Amino acid sequence: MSPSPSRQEEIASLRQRLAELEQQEREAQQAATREEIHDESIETKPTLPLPLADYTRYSRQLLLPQIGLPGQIALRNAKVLIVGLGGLGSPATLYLAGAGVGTLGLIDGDTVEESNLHRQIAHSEDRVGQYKVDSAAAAVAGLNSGVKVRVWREHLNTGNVLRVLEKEEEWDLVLDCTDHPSVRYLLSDAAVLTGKTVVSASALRWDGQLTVLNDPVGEGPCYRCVWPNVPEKGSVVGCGEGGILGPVVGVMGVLQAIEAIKVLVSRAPKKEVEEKTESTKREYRMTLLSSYPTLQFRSVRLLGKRKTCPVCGENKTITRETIETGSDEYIQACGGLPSEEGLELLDPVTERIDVLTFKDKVYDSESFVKRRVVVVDTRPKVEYGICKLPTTNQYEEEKAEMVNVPMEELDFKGRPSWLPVPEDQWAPKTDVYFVCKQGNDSQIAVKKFKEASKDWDFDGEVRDIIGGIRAWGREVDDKFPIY
Amino acid sequence: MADTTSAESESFKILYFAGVASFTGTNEESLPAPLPITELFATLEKKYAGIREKALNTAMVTVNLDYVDIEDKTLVIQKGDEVAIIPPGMG
Repeated sequence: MSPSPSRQEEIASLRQRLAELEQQEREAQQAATREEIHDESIETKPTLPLPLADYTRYSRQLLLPQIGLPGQIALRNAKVLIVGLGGLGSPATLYLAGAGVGTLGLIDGDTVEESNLHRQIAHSEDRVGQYKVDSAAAAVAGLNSGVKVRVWREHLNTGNVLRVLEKEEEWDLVLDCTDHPSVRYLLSDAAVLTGKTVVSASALRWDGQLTVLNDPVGEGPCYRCVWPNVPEKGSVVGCGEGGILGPVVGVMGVLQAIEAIKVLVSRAPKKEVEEKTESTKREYRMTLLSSYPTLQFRSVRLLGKRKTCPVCGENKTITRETIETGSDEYIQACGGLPSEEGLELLDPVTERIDVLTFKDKVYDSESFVKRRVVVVDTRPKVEYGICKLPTTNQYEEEKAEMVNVPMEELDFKGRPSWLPVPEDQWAPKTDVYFVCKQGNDSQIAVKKFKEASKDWDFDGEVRDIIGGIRAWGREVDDKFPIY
Repeated sequence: MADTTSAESESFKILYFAGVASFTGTNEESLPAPLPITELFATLEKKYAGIREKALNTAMVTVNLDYVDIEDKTLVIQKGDEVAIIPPGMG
């Protein structure tokens, strides 16, 4: 039913080509439209500061005293860079386009996947496989053809951050919609060095957080002032795959758009703004959303800049040079910039097993020696509840015993109680296989098991399944859910 | 939930956000007050082994919606206070 891999590749590349052509077409049309508008305003209404249609289009926000005509002009003249076109960047981009922000810059090296669609609302089924920036540009074009869009089909990294932030366009504001802590620190550092305000948000599980950094430029705290201790590799806080509810990340992206509009409008010439902005002493705040079990917003008060901050404090150790040479901590932070490198803790030949050999050995073998097989699935309970390896073969014959022992419950103090084999019943020979989602945790489990089992009279095989249940879904059973 | 009235009156509320909640398995709970802020992380480490290294060291802490320095020797969490542990962004 589903297309073959080569057909899929062809479809993806055609979609990509389509996106590029559409983008070129949009740019050509926008250039033409701008010329028209320009000509028209010179010929007929030289005194109108906005195109005539804009007065109607943006009337509902023009009516807000805090925006008014000066605010709308500020939005039209504004250039906003959005870093990351995922769950945060999608709604933020759409609302800024809707509000009439003149130029939007979009940077993201990822392509749209089906599993993105539950929360990344700028994308759609027919754009799966396209670069997210192209997909988002198409969404913007459909919503507001007057917005100029520039795209970068690459991830933000130490090599391009200063160029994109400073040299290629004069951004008024940057939105941090990324999903990796090291990119957040990198973006914040570069924003301080290039004098940009950052509207930063993040979301995980049922929670979200939002704060405006380096605002006013050179005065407000930066990301490092708020979180001076950079997460390291292995930190669950930074790298956990905790899951996320679409509307939770969506609301945080929408809040980013609110803050972005406020920052842009606040920079409109003051004497023209009809209602005086209150000149209270600047407070730095972070908005927290917790949506389960009770939906609650909190606003917490931050401190200002940190004197000891390495990028905006008194002794600066992070500079343009340290960023450009990459000789900084981004490499270490939470396992470095995003990559798909797997853990290699075990010997792939003697301590691990691939899914095809595993299937052969456990489910298909007609061995005369009866072996007891225990599969220990170390994924969280919720994931085990989604799908698990079979215990029977195709003839419904029991071939394995299965237990779910999440990593934090894997206890090796003494003979583990979670192993479904009575202490005196290692014989007939028992083999233990550890499996997880992708084959990282399972290696840690095997390592621990081997160390602990030296004290037991255990002489069976202990291996972990390479690639985890994902590999099973990919290589053995095409009806197996991949989540 | 099972706290008695007297225990509640001698406790403070602590909120765990995002990845920290993944570690504790709960979003909020009550802990005995008073507690010097300098002892907060050690107290949580006793309850959730490994949490300090994996989640707390990088997180920011607020008491009654104010950012606090967890090395502030003068600060003691009082009964009825609301403490929040907020990790840097990740998703």
